[in-house]
Amino acid sequence: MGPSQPVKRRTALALPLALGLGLAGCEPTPTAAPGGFTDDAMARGHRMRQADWRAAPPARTLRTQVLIVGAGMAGLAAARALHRRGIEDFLVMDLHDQAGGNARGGQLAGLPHPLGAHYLPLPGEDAPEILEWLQELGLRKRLHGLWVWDERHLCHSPQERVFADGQWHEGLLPPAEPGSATSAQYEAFSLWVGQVQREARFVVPAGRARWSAAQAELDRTTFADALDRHGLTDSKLRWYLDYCCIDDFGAPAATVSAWAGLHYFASRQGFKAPGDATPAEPVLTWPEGNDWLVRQLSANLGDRLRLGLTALALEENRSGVRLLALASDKTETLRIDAQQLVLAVPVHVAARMWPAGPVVLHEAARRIQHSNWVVVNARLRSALEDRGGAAPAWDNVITHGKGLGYVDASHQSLDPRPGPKVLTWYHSLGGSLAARATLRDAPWTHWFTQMQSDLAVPHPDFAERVSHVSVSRHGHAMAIPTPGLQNWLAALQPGRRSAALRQGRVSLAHSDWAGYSILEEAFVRGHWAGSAA
Amino acid sequence: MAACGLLYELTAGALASYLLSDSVLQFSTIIGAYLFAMGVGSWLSRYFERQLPAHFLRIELLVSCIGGFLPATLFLAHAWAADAFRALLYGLVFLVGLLVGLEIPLVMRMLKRNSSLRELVAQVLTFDYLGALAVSVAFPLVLVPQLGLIRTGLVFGLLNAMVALWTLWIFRFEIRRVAAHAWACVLCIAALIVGLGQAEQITRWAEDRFYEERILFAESSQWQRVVVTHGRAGHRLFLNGNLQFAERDEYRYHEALVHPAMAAHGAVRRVAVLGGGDGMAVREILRYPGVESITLVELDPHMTRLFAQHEALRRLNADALHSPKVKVVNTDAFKWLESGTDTYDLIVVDFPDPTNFSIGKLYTQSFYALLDQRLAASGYAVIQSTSPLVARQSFWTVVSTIESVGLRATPYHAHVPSFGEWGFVIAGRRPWRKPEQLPGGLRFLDGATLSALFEFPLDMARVTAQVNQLSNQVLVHTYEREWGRVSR
Repeated sequence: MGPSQPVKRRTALALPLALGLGLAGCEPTPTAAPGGFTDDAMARGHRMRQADWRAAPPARTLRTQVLIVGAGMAGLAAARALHRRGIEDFLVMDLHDQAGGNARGGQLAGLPHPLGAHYLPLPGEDAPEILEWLQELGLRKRLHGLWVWDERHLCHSPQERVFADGQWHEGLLPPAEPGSATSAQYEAFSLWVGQVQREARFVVPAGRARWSAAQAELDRTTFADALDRHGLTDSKLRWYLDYCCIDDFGAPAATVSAWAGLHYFASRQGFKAPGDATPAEPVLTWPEGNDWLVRQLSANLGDRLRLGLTALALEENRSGVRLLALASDKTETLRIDAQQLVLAVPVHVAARMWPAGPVVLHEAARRIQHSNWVVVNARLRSALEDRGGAAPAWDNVITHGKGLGYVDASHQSLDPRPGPKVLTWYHSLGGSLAARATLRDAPWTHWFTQMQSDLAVPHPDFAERVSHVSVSRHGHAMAIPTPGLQNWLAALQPGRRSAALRQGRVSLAHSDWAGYSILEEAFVRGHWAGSAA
Repeated sequence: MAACGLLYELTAGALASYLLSDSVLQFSTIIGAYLFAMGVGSWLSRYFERQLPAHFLRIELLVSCIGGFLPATLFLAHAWAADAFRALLYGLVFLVGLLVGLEIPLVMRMLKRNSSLRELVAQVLTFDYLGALAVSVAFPLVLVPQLGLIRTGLVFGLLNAMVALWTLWIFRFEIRRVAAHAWACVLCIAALIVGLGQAEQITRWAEDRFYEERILFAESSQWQRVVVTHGRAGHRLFLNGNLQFAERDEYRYHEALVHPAMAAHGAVRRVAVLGGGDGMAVREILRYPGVESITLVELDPHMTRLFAQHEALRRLNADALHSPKVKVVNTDAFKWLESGTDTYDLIVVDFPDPTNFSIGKLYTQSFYALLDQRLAASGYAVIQSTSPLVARQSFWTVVSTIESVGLRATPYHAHVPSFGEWGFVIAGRRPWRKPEQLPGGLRFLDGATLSALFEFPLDMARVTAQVNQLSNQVLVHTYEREWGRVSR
């Protein structure tokens, strides 16, 4: 729910009420199903801020040629790049017990589901590193001279639907009568996107295109301001654009820059006004979300993947780098000496572990805000009753809901038998301090209650069908592309934006350095770092 | 009075022919029994001497109750105690006939006191036959369509009761114990009125049972409801309420499904059947002695168990599921295709129509690409692909999709009365050629007429169609549109 959305009185009342009842122990539904938080390593991550570990000397020392800190998409891509160059002497470490970062997946009573990122739009020719990787995985093949995608891994139809005015509609755009004011605004926005596409190149990864004056201009204001200036104020259009911004950046149009808001459309198929017959943009997806890709990347790492290991402090010396780390099951620290280091963690984490690090790192940590996310997975005993309209889809969005709607993890199943399924509900809290406090303190039932009140409108039978619940908290999850951030990042490496960002023996590889968080940006940055190390 | 009498006879006849079929036999035996009973009644009337109006009143009340509830009783009896139905039918018809047979002589004798015999006979019989004419016209044209059988019976029961009440009023000074008789009339009328109020319920409930024929077997598995009925069309199988086969004409469907591809191959040894847990396709395949193994991949273990165990159903599939050559695998076909590498000379794909997105996935390019991998070099697959007449675009979508994976598609169609004009597609890497000969013992196909199935008349001729993919599922949309047009 973005700040531009007025809080509905009903939901505003329902929340404290439900919480109060939950505490009193007489709210039956949220606690009826067994549930809890997934391991989010919040305490581990915050260990770094305490000083108690500084006193004791490290128990032992590990040595490696290249150390990769962070086993998210960037770190794993760096490991793959090293392997391809024949460098096998490396370690990948992560504070979680599972690799993947934002792309981790889980299981609820045997059913796989995503814990975070859950799809990958088909990459274009501007991301040859990713295309090559997907070919390696057999997802993209050449057939009779043409490139084809393995249908089974593409999102099956029907892909998406939106719940508006008491009914489900195909697609994500709230329906508008032809000839209505809303419809005219859709057209106008579509034209604007077309215009900026002609004025500047918007690509993924963003660094592949020359940073132009037009883009620099767009990065100076918020998306909401720019829309206002273009007279694009229709409530349906603005709801949809807010939805898109929160979906991709974790923050609404009033927070992100106009460059970011437009990049979402301009780097892809543009904005499709209603009546545009082009089918939904295909995406790759799996029941467990992008964890499927994580597993492919981490399959052959063996014991070079060190999980449950929290990086505490980093220092550079004459022969290399030295990292102090803490194993989650131990109280004593560990020293890792490496010749080179790939720092594939968010900038604020990197800055904290490396106080003597470069100015640019500390400046980035100061500038970049992160959005906080909650992802609730609810396992259902059986499929939900459906209100009229479009058939159940993979992505099901509820207009003016609290969250971003839900994704059906079993949508990709080829087995026609209906059965239990898992729905994944996404909710961004934005980047404020208050959001972080709520994320830290609210019980899991709080988030499940929110999911429940969100889904109760289209699916009154939701609560009674839930058998298991898991709530994943993602603190500091995604960089928010606030106004000015792209301009600052572009100035860091003028002319060489698609190369590894290096500081001596340390490569900085994280999607934070793209100023927004998507798999493609993380992957290419890891790939560049691994190729350069 | 006679009008009422005739009406009961008509309702009984109509019901019997409804429920027992064979209307000529039912009508003639019921009319015969009824007239005979009337004769018996007339003969018995001689034993009634005093208190004629009171006797008449009581008989009238009995007729109103027994006759009025006759259709309702028969409906319920058919639903509840089908075995005793005939005995009850003729018993009740006889009883009503007997009572009505008693009525007319009594009326004549009651009226004799006021007029001459000549006048009397003429009057009574005139009104009697006039009434009969009115009812016989009204019954099929007005009463049954407007009221339904059950309510028609009750309404005429009420008329009878009114006649009784009227008799009571006219002869109130003659009849002894007037109050008791009045109470009997009121009770009878009340019962009939209550019956009228409940008629809707009774009709719905009883008709639910008999329109659906006799249910031989009904079981809900985890994901579908399997119902086998037995009726005029022989055994019929419904999955989730959709007809899968009718005994009357399933041979047309299954012969057409199996033999064109199977006989054309010439030397089929290994066969896979995807879907078709009823074993009918397997029965046809087993006509070829050269077949070594048949793998039946059926999602629902209930289906294969039912058709392997149930006596009547085993007769239908010639006990095919007990053949030593048959191996049953209960899994979903996509997974089965993906998980193995061995190839088959013939793969029969007999899935339900693509009515939803889950089943629609079994008609996609990805599915046929996997099918292609499991087909031996000279093998054929045959795919049931809905009606090319009703769902022309859907049918050709399946053909285009099969062709999109590089297989050669040979479409054909056959007429199956229960389904209508039905379509199939043979897929293979070599062209299909008309088989030299078909196995013996077939009831539908023969060598001379086989090629007619491969001709597509104008209204089923090829249309351009998009390839059905997991990511677009065009077939489900097209199918819904085309069949929706028919059922609306």
